[in-house]
Amino acid sequence: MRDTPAAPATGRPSVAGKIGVTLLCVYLLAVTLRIDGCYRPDAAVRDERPEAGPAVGTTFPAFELADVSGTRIALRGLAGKPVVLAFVPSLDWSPPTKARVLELAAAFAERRDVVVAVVMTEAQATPRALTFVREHAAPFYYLVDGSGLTAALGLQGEGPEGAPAALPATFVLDTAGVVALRDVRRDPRTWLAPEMLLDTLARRLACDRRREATCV
Amino acid sequence: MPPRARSFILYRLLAAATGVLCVLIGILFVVAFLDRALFPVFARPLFATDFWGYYLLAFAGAVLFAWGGCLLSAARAPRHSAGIAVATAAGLIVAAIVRLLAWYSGEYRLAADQLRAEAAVLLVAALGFVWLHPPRPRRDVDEPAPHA
Repeated sequence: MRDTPAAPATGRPSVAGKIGVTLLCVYLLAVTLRIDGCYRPDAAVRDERPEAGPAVGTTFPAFELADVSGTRIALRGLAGKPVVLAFVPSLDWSPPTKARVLELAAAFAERRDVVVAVVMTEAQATPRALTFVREHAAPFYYLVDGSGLTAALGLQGEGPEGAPAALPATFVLDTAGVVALRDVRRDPRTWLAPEMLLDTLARRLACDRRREATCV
Repeated sequence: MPPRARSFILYRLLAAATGVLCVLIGILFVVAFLDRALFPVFARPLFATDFWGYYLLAFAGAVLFAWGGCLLSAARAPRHSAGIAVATAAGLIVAAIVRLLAWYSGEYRLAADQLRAEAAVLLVAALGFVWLHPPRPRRDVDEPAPHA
């Protein structure tokens, strides 16, 4: 059976229902437009805990941590390449942190000349966090801090139910392990844009090359 | 052209386009499952997921195929399938909400703008189904159709 516009239509449409659905759709469209305000990368370096972690220009403390596969990774073993150390609260319950790590992965996917290490506390190395690590196979070290490094640096906060979690922080170390950039925040909903990290690394590598040329 | 006739034609076009899209995506999902599970045709699997993912894709493909068929039927006889418009609008709104939640989850960061664009398109289509579908005849609502 085919209908025509002229077919008798005596049923009354529910205008109230239509208006309700329309309001819902308009609200969701507004959410669609504004949702990127929930969390986002930030182009400016922040230091909201100046007392935590080593200052720019000082050597990052030596550490040796296990990565998620159990291999022990020492900072001195990474010498010779610049290192980006990203302390993350959780790859389980923190959506902004997952977004931050995925942005890092995209930015550093082709950078074999830089080591990126993501550090989380042992309490946050949950099965869901390990699933995230496995499914998004980024060329990173995922280090599990079971030795109190995060607390010793003053970068420890609290996750749900009081479980220790790292504050969101990023350190860029040069080839000698000296801090070239630090970004420490209290809230994971913003993070330093990877472009800023790449820019810092490019300037530091250029500086290192000039130093070598001078030495030669 | 009177407004009612214009909205009638627009509704039929919307239902037909959505129906064709659903049928095509449904076929794609089922073909992807068959390719992965039984008859390797393509050089590599069509989707980056595991065997359970393909199982669910095949199920979703079958459901999309049926949904597309219903929409094509609604495009052919809009007044006698008014409920399909309401159900389709509800499905599209849920699909849009799923995309917004996926955006928020952080796991889909690298496809973030795509998710937002998809959600917006789905919501606009839902509004189309809500406002364009013609009212059903009273006979469908109040009493059974007389037998010929």
